[in-house]
Amino acid sequence: MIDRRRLLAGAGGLAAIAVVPLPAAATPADAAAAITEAFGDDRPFTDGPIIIEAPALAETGNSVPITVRAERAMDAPDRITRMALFSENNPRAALFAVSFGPAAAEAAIATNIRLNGTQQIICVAETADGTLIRAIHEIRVVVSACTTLEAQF
Amino acid sequence: MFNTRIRVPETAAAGEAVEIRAMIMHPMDNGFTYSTQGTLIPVNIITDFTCRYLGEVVVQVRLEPGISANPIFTFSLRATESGPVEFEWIDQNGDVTTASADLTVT
Repeated sequence: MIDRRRLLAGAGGLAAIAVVPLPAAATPADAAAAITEAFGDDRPFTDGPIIIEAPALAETGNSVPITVRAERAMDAPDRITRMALFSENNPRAALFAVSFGPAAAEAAIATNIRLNGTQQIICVAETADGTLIRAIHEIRVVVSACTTLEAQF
Repeated sequence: MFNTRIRVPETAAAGEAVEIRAMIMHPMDNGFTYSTQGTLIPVNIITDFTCRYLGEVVVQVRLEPGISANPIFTFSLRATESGPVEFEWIDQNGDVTTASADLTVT
């Protein structure tokens, strides 16, 4: 049953949501600009042994487990030295960048990322001999990180 | 200084790939969320994470606001000889949080 008090509380809640501006999402062009900033734009992307492991469907965008892995030996002349992840729809396109030192056993790292809605994740890797490898993975997100205003996971 | 949790196996065989986990308790406020009072929560993030084994870099990560709260990283290092595995986190104010564990290679 809807009484006056509950109705007013509901209206207040709606108003509070309405005044909070949502951050502007990045576009694929922003992601491309972030990639250019990180790796330059003078080298073409090639296909390579980069694997992005992430759920096809993420329940919450606040914490999406993701693993990026290169199936290439760390003592090969074309070993992976640097990897960076980019989002096409987050307010900030860059997610994280990792460089692998001489003590790493493999070029692989796992972490949790925030995603603002269903989008493609782009991984760009740089090898020791200077070539760039790109891998793309689409993740469907049920509840975006940026629409949950106060929840933190 | 923030609380950290690291997982390094106590022993490993020489040449073995050892899985390492490192987490730091940090809100990673991304500058886009609001408090319950409706005020914008400013950006407050960890920006850099480095893991070293025997003084050599294993991984070096640059973190952005797109990393979840309590950032955790899982990666692996190649065990060669007994020594310390050292972790270092730097936040946006330059404050450093460190942790370390000893790995015994048999």
